[in-house]
Amino acid sequence: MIVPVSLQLEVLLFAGVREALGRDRLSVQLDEGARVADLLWALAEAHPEIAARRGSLGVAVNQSLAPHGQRLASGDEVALIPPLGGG
Amino acid sequence: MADLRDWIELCAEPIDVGAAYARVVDPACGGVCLFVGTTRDTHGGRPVEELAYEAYQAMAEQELRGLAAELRARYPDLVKLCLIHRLGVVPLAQASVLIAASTPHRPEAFAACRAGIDELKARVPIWKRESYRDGSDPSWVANAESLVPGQGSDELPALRGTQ
Repeated sequence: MIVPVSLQLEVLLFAGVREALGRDRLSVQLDEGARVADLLWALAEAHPEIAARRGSLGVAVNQSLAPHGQRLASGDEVALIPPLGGG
Repeated sequence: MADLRDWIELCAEPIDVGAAYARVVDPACGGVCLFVGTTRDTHGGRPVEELAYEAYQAMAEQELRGLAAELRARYPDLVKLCLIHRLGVVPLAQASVLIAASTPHRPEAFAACRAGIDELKARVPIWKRESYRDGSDPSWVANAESLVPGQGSDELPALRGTQ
């Protein structure tokens, strides 16, 4: 029997997306080898608040903004990054 | 590698502008340039009641360190540098951000401060929530400089399970 390998990640939430979801982190399960784009799709499918924000969410992996094609790995620190407003 | 001449801080208390000046002033320098961003009482014509800042603290500190290193590479004469952002509620007309630089000659101090605030607004993960006195809903205000795009890009990435 082939047991599909999966990737369990905690996703940190900030600012508007944190407020809209009423929580500061989410758990997500992805297939092994998933990329940043797959993470965004999975979150958007599960949470309309995230779908509504779609392309205006960056993803930080291990505290750096990551391109959509970047692969995710177990233990990565992942965060959704809404448009920035510092200053 | 962190440069000991850099002072980087995310703080919950009011920013002490005099203390920041004292940190960067240096006998090898002919000047100090300070940029202080302060909270404004209107936005888009709406009266602002209060501003509150939130950060992804670990990443913000890392980005500020990276920014300091880049400013040093770009302005090699830079002697001391201070990058401070306040978090939490910042009452109107108080400092929310401070960039200070000392250099032997003034042009690089001005340039480093300018580049410092522009880059900070573009890439350091800090967010600003404005609430208004006219009863309209509070909003998270995005910087025009933000590397993460705001409205107008509402597509999910095309890439999915490919490559």
